Parts: sequence; C-alpha cells; structure tokens
Amino acid sequence: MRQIRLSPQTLQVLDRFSEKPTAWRYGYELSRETGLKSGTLYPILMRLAKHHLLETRWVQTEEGVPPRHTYRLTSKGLEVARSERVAARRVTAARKPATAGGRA
Amino acid sequence: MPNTLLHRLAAFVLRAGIWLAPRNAHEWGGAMLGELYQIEESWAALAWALGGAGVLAKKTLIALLLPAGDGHAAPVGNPLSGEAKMHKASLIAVGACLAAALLFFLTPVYRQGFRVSLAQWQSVIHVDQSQWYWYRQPELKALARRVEKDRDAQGMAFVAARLHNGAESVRLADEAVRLDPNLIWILGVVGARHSVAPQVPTWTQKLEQSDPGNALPYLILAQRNDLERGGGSFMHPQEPSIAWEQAMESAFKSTRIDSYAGRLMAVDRRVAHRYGLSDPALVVFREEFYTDNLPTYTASDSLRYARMTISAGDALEARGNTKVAVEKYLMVARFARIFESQRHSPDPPFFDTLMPALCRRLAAAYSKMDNVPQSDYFAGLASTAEQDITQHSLQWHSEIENQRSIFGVTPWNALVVEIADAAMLASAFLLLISLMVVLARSRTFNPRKLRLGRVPTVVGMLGAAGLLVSSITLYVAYRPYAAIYTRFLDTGDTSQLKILREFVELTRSPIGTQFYHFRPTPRGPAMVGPYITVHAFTFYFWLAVTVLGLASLAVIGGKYLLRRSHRDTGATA
Repeated sequence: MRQIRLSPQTLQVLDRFSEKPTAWRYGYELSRETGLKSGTLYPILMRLAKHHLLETRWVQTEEGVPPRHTYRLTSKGLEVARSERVAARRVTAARKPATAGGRA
Repeated sequence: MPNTLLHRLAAFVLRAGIWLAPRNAHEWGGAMLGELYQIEESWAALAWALGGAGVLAKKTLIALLLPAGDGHAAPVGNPLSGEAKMHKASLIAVGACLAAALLFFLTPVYRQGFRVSLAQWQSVIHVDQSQWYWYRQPELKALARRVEKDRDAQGMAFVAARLHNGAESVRLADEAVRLDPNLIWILGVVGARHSVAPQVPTWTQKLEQSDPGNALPYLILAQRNDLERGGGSFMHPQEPSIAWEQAMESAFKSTRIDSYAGRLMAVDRRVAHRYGLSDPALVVFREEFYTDNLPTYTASDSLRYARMTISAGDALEARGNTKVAVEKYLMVARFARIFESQRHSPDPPFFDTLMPALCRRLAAAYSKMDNVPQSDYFAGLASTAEQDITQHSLQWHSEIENQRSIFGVTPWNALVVEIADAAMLASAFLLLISLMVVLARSRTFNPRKLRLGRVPTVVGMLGAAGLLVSSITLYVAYRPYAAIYTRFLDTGDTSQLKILREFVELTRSPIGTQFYHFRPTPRGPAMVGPYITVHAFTFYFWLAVTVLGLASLAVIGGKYLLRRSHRDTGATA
C-alpha cells in the first residue's frame, strides 16, 4: 500500500490518539481538541482508516439518535504515530540552534 | 440534538449529502451525522453539516468522474437508513418546484411574457426567414377568419393594417370600408403598405375627397410610381417621372400629413379588448412605426423632391425670377416643417441638413427683394438650424446608445427575459431527460416503486429548481412591460409605448444578437450593427447542438464498449 501523507493536521490528529492509545475517540471530540473542522478532520480519519492505522466501530449511545462512530489507533497506527513524533522532535531539535544563532 | 430550525436544516443537508454520495462513503457520512446529533449550538451544527456535506460532495464528484477510481470496499455495518426518506423528499421537492413553476402560467402577465420570450427562437428554428412567425402571421390569419365571420369592420381594419399578404390586406380594407364608411382612412394605412395594389389609384381619389389637404394619398402615389418604375425593387428610378413629380408637388402643397396612426391606435385598442389579444407584438408593433406610419419611400422621396425644388428655385433666381424662386423655397420649408412635426420615430430630423442652406437662400432672396424683416428672420433661422444639426445628432446618438447599450434598462430586461426563457427550456429538457431515465429504469409509473438513482435525481432536481427560478425571473423582468401594455389598452396611454415596442423588437432576436456597437464618425457615433448576426447565431447554435449530440453518442458508445469488454474479460477469467 502507498505510504500515507502525514500533513501537520494528520500529525496533530495522531498526537491526540497517541495520548490515550487504548481509548475510543469520537469525531466531534477530536474536532474540538484539535480545532479542525469536519471538512478537514474526516478526510484525515478516512485516510488513516484506509491505511489501517485506525480502527473504527459503531456505538449506539442513546435511543432515537443515530449511532456514533468511534476511532482508535491500531498497533500499526500507534507505531507510526510514535515514530513520527520522534522524527518531528529530532527535526525541531536540529533547527533550534540555527534559529537561535540567527537571531542572536 | 435540539430541535431548532438550523439543526433540522443541518441534518437535512448532511442526509442529502449522504444520499447523493457513493455507497462507499455512506459509512463516513453516517459518522458525521452521528456526531451532528451531539452538537448543541445551532450554527456550529450547521457548520459541521456543511463541512461534512463538502467532504461527501467531493466523494460524489470523484465517483461520477471516475466510477471505478475509488477502490473502497462497500461499508460494513452502516446503520444509515435514510434512503427512503430522501427518495420521498426529492420527489416532493421536484414536484413542488414543478407545481410552483406551472402556477405562474395561471397569471396573464407570465403567459404574455412567456409568449414574448419565445419569439427569439423563431429565427433559430426556421432557417428560412419566410417561415418566421411574424412573416407567416398565423395568429393574424386566424383573427382574420374570426373578424370576417363576425362581419367586424374594425377587426378587418386591424388585420388589414398588419397583413403582409397584399391582396388579402387590400380585400379586407375594402370590405371594412364597405361595412363602415367611416373607416375610409384605413385605405390610406393599407395603401401606404401595399402601394402597388391595383385598387390604390381609386383609393387615393377617395382619400383626396374624404380628407382634402392631406399629403398622404400623394405620397402613396409617389411610392407606387417609384416601385412600378423600379420593377418593385427598393431602387429609386434614375430619372423621376412626370407622374411622380406631380404627386410630390401635390404632397408639398398639402397643408398637413396625417398617417392616421391615431385613428388606427384607437381601433387597435378596441379590437385587442374585443378579441382578448394578449400578444403586445401583434398589437403595438408595426414595421411602419419606423417610417412614422408613412409609405417607406416617403422620406427619401421628400428629400429628393425638396432638392429638385431648391435647384429649380436656384435656376429661377439666376434668371432673375426671385419671387417665384422664393415661393419654391417656401414650399420646401413649409413641407419640411409639417413633415417633422408629425414624426415620432427615433431618427433625427430628416430635413435638418437642408434647412440651413434653404434658410440662407431665403434670407438672400428676401434681401434682394428689399424685404429686410423677412431676410433677417431667415438669417436667424439659418444659424439656429445649423446649431440644431449638431444638437439633434448628438441627442439622437445618445438616445440610441442608451437604448441599445446592454446597460440600458430595456435591453437589459430583454436580455434577462431571453436568458430566463432559454434557462426554462434547458431546465424542462433536463427534467424530461431525468424522468425518461427513471421511467426506463423503473419500468413502472408507480411513484413508490420508482428507482430514482442519484444522477437522474440530481439532474431532475436541477431541472425543477431551474424551471422555478427562471419562471420567477421571467415574471419579474417582464411585469413592467405587461403593465405598459395593459395601461395602453385600458386608458390609451401611449407615453411608454415606445419602450414596449423597443422591448418587443429586442426580444425578437436571439440572445447576443441584439447588442449594437458604435463607430465614431464626424457627426458622432454611428451604429454599425449587432456583434453577431441572427444567421451567425443560428449557425453556431446548431453547430453546438450537433457537437453535443455527437459527443453524447460517443460517450454512450464508449461506455457500452467498455462494459462489453469488462464482461468479455470476466467470462474469459
């Protein structure tokens, strides 16, 4: 399968998931936490699910309202999230001295 | 979820998006719908739904353009079951739009506007000009049968003044006068249109007796002479005949010019009321409006005779016969005044180029005759006439420019009506196509068993909505013109009839062929015609139809071959 494109927004979503790796999360909850609108968030969730980084399930919360879709990282997803976080930290650390020097 | 209007709207938008979306996106649509029910704040809910609908619209578009491009598997465990609801909702929406659009037909204003707007297709459908509605005049011919059956003299006069068929027009005019001798003036109106008819010499004699002092019979005779000698073409004979000169001399010596336009208009109103004529083009639009209801040749005949008379005056003056020369000049000046005073067409004064020189001649001649007051009077008139030329020209061009510019109110409204009409026909076409596709797929007329399908439903909804919007637009844009027409019929108010005539004329030519552009000339801007001709429009229209037809056939053929090739591959595997 083709490598998933990890945009800053996707990394933001992965970050949220990796904070509580075992917890099932709702779309609206993720939207509020990340500040991403539905039009941005759902294409990311779709892509993550398509690449098997995310598992989904339906939950009937109350009678008379549509069921809710919930999401959790798969083991592969967790692995990607962690490696991407490490890589991001390395890049940030490598850039810091130069930026600091430039401003001095 | 709170039961507010915005929440309900948000849920509807998202459900519609899900319903239209490809099957493999339903799960995600359901996911966004589930979350929507958790949002308390109304605007946030609507924003959520719009964002979600946008995502689904993108999926739909991709699925439409690349039917096999999205390789997602069908969803598992999708709890969404709103298809039945959407099925019903879309049928209701299409039905409501269609019913609302059809309701407009109940209003006379709309029916009138629709009829006027359809005129633009005459030149597109009938490549042969003789088949255009206003040349064939089917409605007028039907009215002719009615008025003859009713022995209605005024009705006959109305029809006779408009028929292109000379023999029929002349016969009806004769019959109208036989039934009601007070309508004798209709002989002048019809004689001006069909001056080569054999009855015209007799008619002009009758008119001379019934209305002495009117120049019209002589102007008709002059045109008849022109046409007979020019072989019926629009070519003036090189040398004027004695008969022509006599007719023009009589016209120039007449005390007034009455084209009977006022009397005809009164008859028009009565006949329009009596027979419920709702087409303003039939009642208020006559080609003779542009020649002030006079014979077509009158303007050029008059100018020609005026020049001849001035030359004759010059010759007399050279021979020392100043008094007779002055009489000749005065005859021209008097005729020019009565000719201009009865005019109402938008053209600038016809004699304006002659007047300064004519007045200067009169001033000089009176000076020779030692008549100083008259000489001064005509010298003053000469300078005023010179100023008038520039002023009239600029005024006329400015008026024409305003009338013909796309930013003029009437051209703009005419364009809007024409576009609304085209949009209405296109919408009706879309609706019909989608209905045919749905019926072909469903093989039933039972609304409950119809297999709508996403694409035919979207096309049908677009068609129905387009029909409604274009109907509203047509009604709103045409309404002021219907009011002018009604006011004319009810009260005889002709103050805005010019606007209605212009509107009717503009809506006769197809979209894009009614705009004029201007070329500067020493006398001001000159109108050089429409951007594209009606013939060019007709050509491009049918070219586009042919290309689209061929492209559709190619797509259908390509899809068929592709499907067959897939089937063959499957069978081999």
